[in-house]
Formats: sequence, C-alpha cells, structure tokens
Amino acid sequence: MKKLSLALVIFIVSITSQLNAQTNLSSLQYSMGLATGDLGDFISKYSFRGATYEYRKLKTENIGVGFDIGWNVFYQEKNNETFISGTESLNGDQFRYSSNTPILFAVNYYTKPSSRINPYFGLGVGTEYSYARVDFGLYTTDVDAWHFALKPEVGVIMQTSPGMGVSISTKYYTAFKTQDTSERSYLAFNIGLVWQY
Amino acid sequence: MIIRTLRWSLLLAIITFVSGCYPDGPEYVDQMDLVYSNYDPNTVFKGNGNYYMKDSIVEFTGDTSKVKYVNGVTAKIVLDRVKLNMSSYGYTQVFNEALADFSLVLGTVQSTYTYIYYDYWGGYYGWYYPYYPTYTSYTTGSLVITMVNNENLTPSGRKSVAWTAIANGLIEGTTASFNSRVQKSIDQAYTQSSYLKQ
Repeated sequence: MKKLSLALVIFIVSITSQLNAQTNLSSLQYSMGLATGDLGDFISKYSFRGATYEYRKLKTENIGVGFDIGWNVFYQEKNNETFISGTESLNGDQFRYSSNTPILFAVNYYTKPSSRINPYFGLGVGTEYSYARVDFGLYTTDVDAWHFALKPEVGVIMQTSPGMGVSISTKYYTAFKTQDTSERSYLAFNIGLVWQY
Repeated sequence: MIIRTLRWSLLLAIITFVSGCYPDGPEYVDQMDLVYSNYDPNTVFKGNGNYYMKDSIVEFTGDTSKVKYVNGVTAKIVLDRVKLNMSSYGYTQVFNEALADFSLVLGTVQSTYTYIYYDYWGGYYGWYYPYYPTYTSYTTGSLVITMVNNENLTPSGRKSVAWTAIANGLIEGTTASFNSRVQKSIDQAYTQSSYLKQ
C-alpha cells in the first residue's frame, strides 16, 4: 500500500511539474453518499448531506491536476435496538454520526475536451479526516482519525455556455483503517457547477 | 465578475444548506432511556417459578447509616409492573422467602449533574463585560432489579445473583410521563430477558 501511494504521489507531482498551465477549472458540487464496508455496517442510511469543491489546472486539453476538498456526513438513528454481548443485553435508541472530510491531490483525464459532453475519469490520493460518534442513552463515545485516502472517480461535464457547465460524477472514497479506527469508505454521487477560467 | 459572484453565492448556499441539515440527535427525554440486563448462565430458571419480593424499594444514597425508601406511590407503580411481568412469564409470588426459588430486590440511584458555561452578553454591557455564566443541571436515575437465587449459594455461603436489570434515564417530565417511561423500561427488561420464562 505504501508503494502504491508513493507511486501515485510521484505520478501526480511529475505531471504538475512537467506540463504547462493553460486553464483553470473549478467545481462546486452537492454530494450525496452511501456508506460501504465497515462504515456501511455502522450507518446504512443514504446521506443527503455533503458538498465538494474541486480545482483543476488543465495541463493539457485532456489532463487536469489539482485538489479536492469534500465533506460528507452520515447519520442514522437505531430506535429501540437491543445489543447483545454474551449474557448481557442493552436496549435503547442509538444516534450514530460519521463526518468525513477528504483532502486529496487529484488528476482527471477528460476524454472529449472540445465536446459539449465531456466524460472523464480521475483519481485522488491524500488524506481524510473522519469523526464518528455514538449517542446511546446519556452516554457518548466518539473517535476521530486522519486516514490515508484514495478516490477513483468517473463523471461527465456538460457545457451549458462558454466557460460554464454542469458536472455529474460518482466517486468512491476509501479511507484506510488506522490504529484506532476501521476503514471508512463510501460512494458519493455529486452534481454541481463547473467554471473554466 | 458575474461568474465569481455566482460561484461564491453557490458556495455559501451549499455551506448553509449542509450546516442546516446537520443531524441533531435525541429530541425527547425517552430517547435517552437505556435498559441493561445480565444473567448467570448457570442458573436454571425453568421449573423454579416461585419468587419473593418485598413491598418497598430501597433508595441508595451513599449513606449506609440509615436506609431510605422510595415513596409509596411510586414504589407501588414499579412493584406492580414487576409483578405483572413476573406473572406473564409464569412465576408465582410467595410471601414466605424460605419457600421462594428466587428473591427480587429493587433499588434506585439518583445523580444530579450541574454545568456552568459562559455566554456572550451580545454587546449589552459593552466589550469590557463580554460573558455571563449560565447554569444548567439534570438529574439521572437508575432502577436496579436484582433476582437472587435462593437455592444456589456461592462458595462463601452467600446467595448468588441470577439476573440483574438496570433501567437508566433522565428524571424529567410530568409524573405521568415519568411513570409511563419507568413501566415501559421494566417491560423492556423482561422482553430482552426471555430466558426467564417458565
């Protein structure tokens, strides 16, 4: 995993340093999420709370290099649930929260940059701050951590006017497990506006 | 210029929207009620259906020099609910402890927590007097139901605990709603302890 992450960082940095800047591209997106894996076991409810900001410097027509900052909050109430461990049982209402903030270096490849409909795919690598909390009765437990994170992405930009467009994308965030926390992964479905300047 | 304005407006709109939608958590007192139960796996409940229970509930105060009891009205509501659940699980109440397979002992614990925090005067007294203290407090309570096995003595000759249930929550609201919550918690203690059935 460390070798893979190092290779990704070197790849992105090398593109950044070798190519000349031409155009900037920014995008603000509303983000919805579906937790998977361990996070999905913790909160299975679909999330409508999230936002992402993306910046790409277009090094060529096809390649954009930059960063992503995102925020997705997952929340679920478990009403009247009984949790059993051996001979012990505990019943009550649980309130589960998970807040995830990925901060990633990212590169996109735009397949049809001169077309009004421009599909693309991309990859992000960086870190993700996660905070999880459980309110159970009068008691609260929480944990937070910084994770190493990866994000593959596919999407499409639809140009609506010169320099502006709408983007629709699907991203899969994986924040790898740390000493204190399990893996945090989720699918994010984004829709937003794109500016080219 | 228009694009820049639009961009920042959208950013502000998204932040406002997402912040406004941040989950709030529990809204009602009963959403903070918890019921815990545990049992001794070596206890045989089936076929041992006689139980004894005193008609009072001890209030644990930390002062061991004198015993304090929960007031009679509240105690009756609690004890009646326990009897109802014991009966529905096939147990028979006996009034001579020597004839009982199990004895039920009930007790309560209360704790009050007080917090002090500081809030802003909002400029009313000027910048030099920015904060005032605000106090808040809440009281929590636990009802502890202990089922003692009269047959199975520990190596030291003491009676062993066969089953324990603890109902915990905030002591808030009207008497009627509080009593209702306590009864619901007692019912839940039995619901999650179906191994008690005769």
